[in-house]
Amino acid sequence: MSKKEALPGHETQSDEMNCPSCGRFVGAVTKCPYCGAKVSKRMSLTATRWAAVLLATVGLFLLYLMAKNREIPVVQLGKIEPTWNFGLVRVEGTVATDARPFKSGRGMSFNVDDGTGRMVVFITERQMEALKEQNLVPKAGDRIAFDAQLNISDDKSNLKLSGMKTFVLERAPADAVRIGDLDVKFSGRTVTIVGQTVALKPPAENTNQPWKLTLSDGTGETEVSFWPAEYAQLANPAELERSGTWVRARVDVGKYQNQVQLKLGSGKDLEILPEAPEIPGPYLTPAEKAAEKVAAKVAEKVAAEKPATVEEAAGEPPAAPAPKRDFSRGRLVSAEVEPIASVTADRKGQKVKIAGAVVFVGEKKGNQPVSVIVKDEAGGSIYVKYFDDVAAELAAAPAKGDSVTVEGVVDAWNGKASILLQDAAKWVKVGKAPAPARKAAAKKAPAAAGRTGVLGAPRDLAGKGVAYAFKEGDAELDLVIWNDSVPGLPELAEGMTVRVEGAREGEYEGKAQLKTGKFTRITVVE
Amino acid sequence: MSSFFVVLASVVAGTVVSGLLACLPGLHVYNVMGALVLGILSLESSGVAIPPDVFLPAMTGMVVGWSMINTIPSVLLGTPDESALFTVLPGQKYLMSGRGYEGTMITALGSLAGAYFLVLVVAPCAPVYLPVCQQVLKGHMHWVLWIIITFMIMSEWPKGGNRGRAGWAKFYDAWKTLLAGLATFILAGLLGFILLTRSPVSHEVAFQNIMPAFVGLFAVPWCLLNIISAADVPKQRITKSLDMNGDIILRSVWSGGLGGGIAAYFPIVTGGVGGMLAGHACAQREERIFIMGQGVSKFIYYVGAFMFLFVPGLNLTRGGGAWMVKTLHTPMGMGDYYMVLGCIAISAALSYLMMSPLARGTLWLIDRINYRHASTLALGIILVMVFAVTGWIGMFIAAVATGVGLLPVLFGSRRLNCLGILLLPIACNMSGFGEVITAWMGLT
Repeated sequence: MSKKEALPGHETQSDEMNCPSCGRFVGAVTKCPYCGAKVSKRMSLTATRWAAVLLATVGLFLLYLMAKNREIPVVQLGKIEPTWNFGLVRVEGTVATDARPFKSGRGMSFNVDDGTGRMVVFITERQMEALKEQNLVPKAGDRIAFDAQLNISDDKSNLKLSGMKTFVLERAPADAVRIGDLDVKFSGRTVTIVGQTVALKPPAENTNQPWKLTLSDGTGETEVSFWPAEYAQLANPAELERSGTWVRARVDVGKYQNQVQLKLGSGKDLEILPEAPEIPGPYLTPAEKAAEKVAAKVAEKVAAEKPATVEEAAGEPPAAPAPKRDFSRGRLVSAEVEPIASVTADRKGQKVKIAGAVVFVGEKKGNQPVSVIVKDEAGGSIYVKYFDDVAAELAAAPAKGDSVTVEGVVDAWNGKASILLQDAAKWVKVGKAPAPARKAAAKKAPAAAGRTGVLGAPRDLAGKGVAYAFKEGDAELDLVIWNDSVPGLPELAEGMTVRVEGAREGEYEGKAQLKTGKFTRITVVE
Repeated sequence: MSSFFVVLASVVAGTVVSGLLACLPGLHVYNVMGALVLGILSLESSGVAIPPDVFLPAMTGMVVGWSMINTIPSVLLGTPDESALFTVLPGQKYLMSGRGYEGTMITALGSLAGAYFLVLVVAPCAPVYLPVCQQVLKGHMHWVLWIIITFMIMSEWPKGGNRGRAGWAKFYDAWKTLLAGLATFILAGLLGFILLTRSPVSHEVAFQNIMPAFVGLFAVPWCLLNIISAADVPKQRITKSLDMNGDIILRSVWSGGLGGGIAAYFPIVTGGVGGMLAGHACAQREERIFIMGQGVSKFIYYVGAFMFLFVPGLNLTRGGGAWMVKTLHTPMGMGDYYMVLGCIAISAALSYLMMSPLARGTLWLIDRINYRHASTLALGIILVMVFAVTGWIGMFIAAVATGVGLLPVLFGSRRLNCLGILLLPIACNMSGFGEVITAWMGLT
């Protein structure tokens, strides 16, 4: 369309104000009201600018909503990949070590274990204060779930706690114990005690000593110590100065010079009671508790089934029946051995019996239960866990390779089932499982006599040493050499045949090892 | 001896590959290295382990090659990364006067001088003095960052407002670029808080969760601008000499080394910010010093930050390249340090030798290929890469960041303000109140 000259009087208007067809002034409209021609307008640059501002602002707001409402994925620590670095994840597990403040006081850290792996968690100063305020400072054995940012590197990885809103901490169960029953056997555990205040002793001036609170419950007297920081957290400290005040305290039991030492972890763990509470009965181990419970149920059942006696019919009180001997050892029904694969998390709380071989025995750490992995012939495996009281009653500590039957209660955490052994009598060692072929081969030659093998690829042990694959005939094990541990160590390389004398045999994560030390001699054969 | 040849072959391969990729406008070396890390990890999980003697030299070669050769698209195609923003105006001046090749080679000469400075001056002193500096300075980083931010914002002085009616209209005219700069800094900072605290990117590729935002803030706006307003490039002359002398080289190394050093050492401070600070500190007005100094600065920023990871006793991780290496390998002792220094020297020499043919090749292509089409292709490549790594969520983040990145382009403010994405949240976190802000935003 050829452009029409603007009509007289309209020349001063810009081109887009006049109709290109009839030349009349049309103003801001895009279609000429006179001839219907299309009038094209240039887009204002200012408009595009504000469009960009709008896009940025709206987009940012949407992104904010998206991020805020995003569900954080729960991950397993053992399966974390390096590409997850800086990722925000949720971890559910057990606190493996008590949270300890940094020397600078600007934060704290603890270790978390979710059954697949363990990692250190860093807490900022502000978060630390919030945890103290809410009495949520993690302690070994507590169950925990939290959001954290991953920081992964080749040598050490860690988690940084992200916010407190989603932080969940479930304290490890603490038995109620009479003061008179407390002894060094409880060392390393957390217990609850009740008692009346006898005395409150403040720290001497200009010293770093703790406060000391003496409590008595009629069965004995004990001293609970706590630091000024915990004292400051107490709800009503003046009440403690008054003799005879009833309190309930959750305390950590320690041992010093073979004497029991009680420590208050937080001021909020001490509760001032308005009236005298019920003093717990004598402390019973879980096995004793279970036996007592069964005895009560059996007695109840017998009483319900028993026909009315002549005395009852006559309205006289019956003679108390002689207590029956409990042969069931706490079992209500006879348990059949089940395949381990059938023990699933949804059976939480049920009693089960399994049979298999011990393939892993964990170490005792703090308040945590000992974990043992049992594997049956069908290939199913499960964690069996037990606490100190059960461990103390076991005839022999579980050892790798033992063939056992185990009966316990199904527990579930993070969707995974485990069995809690409550009675040492229900851990029955049947025999010794046959050793795997590789292990048998590895044990053929005693270390003291010296062993010869070919070195495979070396592995760095986090900068602290190196582990070589050590091929000895058909068997393969790891030759572990810690830095500067072996005197006169020759330069080793993959493919060398070496003779190792004076090394100890061991196992780590199911693999046989030769552990070297200062009495080890390694010589290159070829 | 076999290890020597493996390292040599790896560094040459890394340099050549990154040199060719550096000519593609908009593609950042860290994106390529991220893909490389993914590849190495997936090979490891399938049972094929790549030894550090292979990937460390290759990655060093990539960082060195890219930091030098990326000058070509920065000057000739007008698509600089953040650290080269200042080179663009004088570089384009050279391009428009038919001296694009010369401008490119002057910048590359600056990078070569930077390599000498790094290997012969910084590297011998670093293991002795830098750990001490780190001990002294590490408690002071937060206020240094705030001062840099303040200077950056303050130096965006009001422009315009000289003509027209007095009153609010004139005031707005004077302050609109400054306000746009502040808005850019704040919006980018908010984006940074979201991405660093609760990134919507899948946790499985979290190591690249800032990448879509950087692409949106810097690469996409440049490509869009070139597509919309590309100018015809005049006929370029290829020269056999450079208008330089020893005095200019020394002064360039002084100003560029200072800028690059600040950027490499201080967290979050990038080459562009370091260059700006050094430019003000050294007050070198000569155009050639400026262009060459930016070459030095860019080289020291990228390569120096990478090198710090390997300095024995320093334990300092700066820059995306170093963070990516750290996920694969923990540097140990002088052996790794010497290897990386050797790789830097070899790669810098090789990159400089590649500069001239690659610059000529690019000029040849500019003659024949429409500038707009090249920018469209570059935009396509970077968007495909964002999608491949981070999916649709990454594309959304890139789109939002593009909105923020377009503000300085459309309002004429400094693009450095986009760095608020890292500067603001990190400075707040280092000062101890980042958590309060994220809690207030409901992110934690």
